[in-house]
Amino acid sequence: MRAALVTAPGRVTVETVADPSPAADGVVVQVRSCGICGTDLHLVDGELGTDRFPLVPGHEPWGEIVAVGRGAAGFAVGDLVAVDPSLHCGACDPCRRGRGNMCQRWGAIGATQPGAWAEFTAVPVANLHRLGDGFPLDAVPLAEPVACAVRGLRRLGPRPDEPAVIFGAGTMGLVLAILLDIQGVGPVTLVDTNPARRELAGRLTGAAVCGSAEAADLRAPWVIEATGNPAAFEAALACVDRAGTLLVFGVANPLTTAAIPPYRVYADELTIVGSMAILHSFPPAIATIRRHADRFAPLLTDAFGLEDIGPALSLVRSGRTIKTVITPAAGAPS
Amino acid sequence: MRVNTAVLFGAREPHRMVDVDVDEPRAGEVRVRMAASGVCHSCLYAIDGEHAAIPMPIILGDEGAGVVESVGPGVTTVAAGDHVVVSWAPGCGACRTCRQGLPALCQRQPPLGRMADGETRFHHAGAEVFHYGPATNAPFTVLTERAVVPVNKDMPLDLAALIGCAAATGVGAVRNTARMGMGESMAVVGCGGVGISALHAGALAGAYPVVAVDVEPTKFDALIRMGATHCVDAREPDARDRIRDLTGGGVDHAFVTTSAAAAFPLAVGVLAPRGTCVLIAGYPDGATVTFDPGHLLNGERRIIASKYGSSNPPVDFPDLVDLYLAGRLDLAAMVSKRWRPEQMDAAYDALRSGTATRGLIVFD
Repeated sequence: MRAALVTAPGRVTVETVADPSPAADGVVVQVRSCGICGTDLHLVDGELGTDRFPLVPGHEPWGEIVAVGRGAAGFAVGDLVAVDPSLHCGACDPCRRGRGNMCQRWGAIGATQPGAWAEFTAVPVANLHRLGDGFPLDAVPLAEPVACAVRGLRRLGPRPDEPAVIFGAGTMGLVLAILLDIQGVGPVTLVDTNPARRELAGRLTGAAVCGSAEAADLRAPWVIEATGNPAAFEAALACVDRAGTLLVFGVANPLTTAAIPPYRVYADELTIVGSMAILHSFPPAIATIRRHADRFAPLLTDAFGLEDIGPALSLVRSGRTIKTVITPAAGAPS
Repeated sequence: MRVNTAVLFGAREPHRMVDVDVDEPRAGEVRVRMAASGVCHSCLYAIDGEHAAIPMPIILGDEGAGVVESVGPGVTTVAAGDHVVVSWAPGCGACRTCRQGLPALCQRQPPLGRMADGETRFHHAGAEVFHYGPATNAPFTVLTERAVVPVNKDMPLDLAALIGCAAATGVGAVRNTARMGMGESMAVVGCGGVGISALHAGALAGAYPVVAVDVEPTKFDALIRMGATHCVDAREPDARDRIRDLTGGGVDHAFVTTSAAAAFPLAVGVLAPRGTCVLIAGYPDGATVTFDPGHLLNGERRIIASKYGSSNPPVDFPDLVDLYLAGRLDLAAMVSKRWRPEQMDAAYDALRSGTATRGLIVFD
């Protein structure tokens, strides 16, 4: 099959590699589409380590099952599925406490195992989520990002009819804004430094938008940092109203730090929570996408065939896209 | 002042239109000119004689809205002319649960049918006429200040009546009690005013699927417009299996809004492991319910209760008004019929028959 392979930091090539075969408790999925995520850029650039190269990235796939392992019950060739990329060992202390996203041997399809910027990808049965008859397929590529956002909002625990502020109008900022609105939390304000992204964000989510200067006057009990930028973290913390909560959702460079005024945390009883990837949040994400596909589908702004992975990555780096996906089946010989 | 109003002189008797003297508001009280009063199931317990302790004669009505006509000494939170939604749970304002913002759980309730000082503010021919809670079925009623919540004057007062009980209870059960999350599944067993409010709130909270369960399939098209994604006829022998199938094996939250005997066992029976049955309905004196304890234990299923939607009226009523004004809470669709005060018995008969969603008694 054809697959996009990272062989060294910043170096991605499309090559012919061996077809994957299903594990005993797994299947092989023919990839209909797989998103490109901000984390993929860190991965491709080698920021998360180079010992994993060569690697096929891609952790947001959905597609059709084309092969089933000997012990893989409950799924059949032809089933359409979305894939939770999280690989939890199930044996360490956090896994045994039901906190698999804190797994001591945490891994993920497309991060530590071959992923889905490829025609086919191997997936354990435990990671499959069936898309039932009539499922609105146009929004399915957002299943994985929505599952991360559902986890984040569980950590935040916002109440309906109370204002929220999100720093960062990227894919995740927009997904979070839509999910907050779906839960009745609002008004929601999206903060971004880029005027073009603000315009698009307002149009696609219905949220209010503003630049970072105006954000200094905002106060809300529910604030989300979705940029990974330490300056945005500090601005977001300043926005948190008394007795409010800040969710740290964006992926920062591990080496950066930000300032926290301890007096405010004390005097205003502030809560700061983090959220890492997916935990028990894929099924509600699938239900939410099924219900609100019309709101999520417009976030899928760009699609590229597998051979065009280079231009696709350039577009994501430029910021002139919301969600870009790779559609390996589209360009593949049938 | 003297008004002509419908008074219930005994259980299982029709109301009589009689002249009633309505006192001036005393210290800490307000007198409200009612605009509309909701026809609520709780009043049927008085009419049908299912709560023996209810004193007679009595003026019914536990949800309503109107305009403050006058205020007694010391009243600070409202003034004459304010539009108010009436709360049937003013609480004492001083006990532990009241201070936690849960006045419906007040531990110092006034004597049944009377104000906190032990007297009534209604009299007929010199004799006491009792208050069924806020007694919103009279054209004027006297209430403690804590029983009225001023609201935005853009809110239509007739629909505002529904906020005082049906909407507060149904929306509150979903938001305050169950704290439902996005993508969680729910079923509402019994789709009158409270049930419809719960369906709305489930849809607003991002629940999916939202299953409406009722014995009256003629309501199903309307229930889909009001937030339900699926409807199931509770009288079908396979209702339980159908609800489980629709929700991938069981629901995360099942709300019981009716004391009908089959409702509670059905709600517990359709729960997913770790699912929660939220009991909202009031039951007649001496009623009991049954469930299979093994089913409860083996799935760690839970049964909890939600009284008045765990509401804190001064906080929650303005929120519900905002939801209506933002077009997100369709109170108008909930109203099946408007009645004149002299049609009171017909209004309650329609409610008892199960075909009505919510009736409104509208005053001049």
